[in-house]
Amino acid sequence: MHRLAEEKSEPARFVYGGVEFDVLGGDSRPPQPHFPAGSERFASVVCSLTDAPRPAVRGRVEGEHRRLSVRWNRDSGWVRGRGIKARVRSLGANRFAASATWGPHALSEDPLVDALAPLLVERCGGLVLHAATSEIDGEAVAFVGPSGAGKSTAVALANRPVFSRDKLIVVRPPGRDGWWCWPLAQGSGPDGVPASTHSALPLAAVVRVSASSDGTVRCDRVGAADAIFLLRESTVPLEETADAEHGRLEVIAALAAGVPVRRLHTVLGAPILPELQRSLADA
Amino acid sequence: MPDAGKRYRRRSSVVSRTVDGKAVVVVMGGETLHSFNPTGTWLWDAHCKGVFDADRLAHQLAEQFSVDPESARSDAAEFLDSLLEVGAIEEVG
Repeated sequence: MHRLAEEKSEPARFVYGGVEFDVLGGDSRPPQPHFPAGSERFASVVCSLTDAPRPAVRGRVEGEHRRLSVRWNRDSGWVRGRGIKARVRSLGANRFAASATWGPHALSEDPLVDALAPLLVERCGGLVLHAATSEIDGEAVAFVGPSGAGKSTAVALANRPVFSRDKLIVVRPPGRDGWWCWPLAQGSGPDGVPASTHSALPLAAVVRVSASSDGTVRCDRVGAADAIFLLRESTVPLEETADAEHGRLEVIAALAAGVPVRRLHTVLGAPILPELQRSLADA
Repeated sequence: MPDAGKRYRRRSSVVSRTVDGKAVVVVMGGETLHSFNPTGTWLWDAHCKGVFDADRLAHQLAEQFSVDPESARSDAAEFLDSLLEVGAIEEVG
């Protein structure tokens, strides 16, 4: 038996990205923010983890190793990259089993968790959004846009607890009404704004941020096609096949139909909350 | 500009969805995203299927929108150019 597996008498149990992980063997150090087992979740996975022998000198990590390769066929598939190789099997009802091996080039504290959470989200009909998210009145408002668009600035201007700094899991969980979200990966965000203490929140809106060109803070509705465009623009895709992309656009269309999507024009230093709340009250 | 007589087809790495008369097009691999105006969407959805060429698109444009053949040819060529540029279509051998 592997040395690390012998050292661990109890499996590591925690919720990350809305997935409850039950990791047997290996040395699992879940990324932040993770929550205790039993927290709000939409899926669960039992993982058997084996550490691969590591070379004495770690090799240089090339760019392509940072990407995840994913393939899924019917009820099983695999994910590879960021130092992990995992086979995954669906057990039905959003439950999964995985067996994984760490490679020599682990790129995060726990590449297994880092790789599996987004994969299982897609298998459960959800998305990973590149979003900085505020908790406003007990719900999540996700600010999206390309790097540099001002997502973190919007979170700072909203001046409400930060729910996610960089990535957000968005799913319609079984047994719940509507769309819910979970934070994924800590990332960087505005200093001085407290973190939300919730592990999951209902998703109130997705807001595409850009700088105002006329010096006024404005929050506008967007048309259905534009909503799909900007949601897809903000989606972090995993499996790159035509079937997966069709499925992704289906999910995005359902999200656009179920959650208000807005375009927010921000002005540095100007509060956004009144205009945001006015716009969402019109929903 | 696309040559007369050249034939094209959608690339297999392209996925699109049309909502409210506007197509959102994902070109996988390079991971780029595009949207078409209503005329472009109509051409893409109805006539950029199977194998197609500039003449066919120009004919459809002229018929649908009652534009003169010269303008239709120019518009069709421009549309095909933009599709080639973003990697949404490829030439058929």
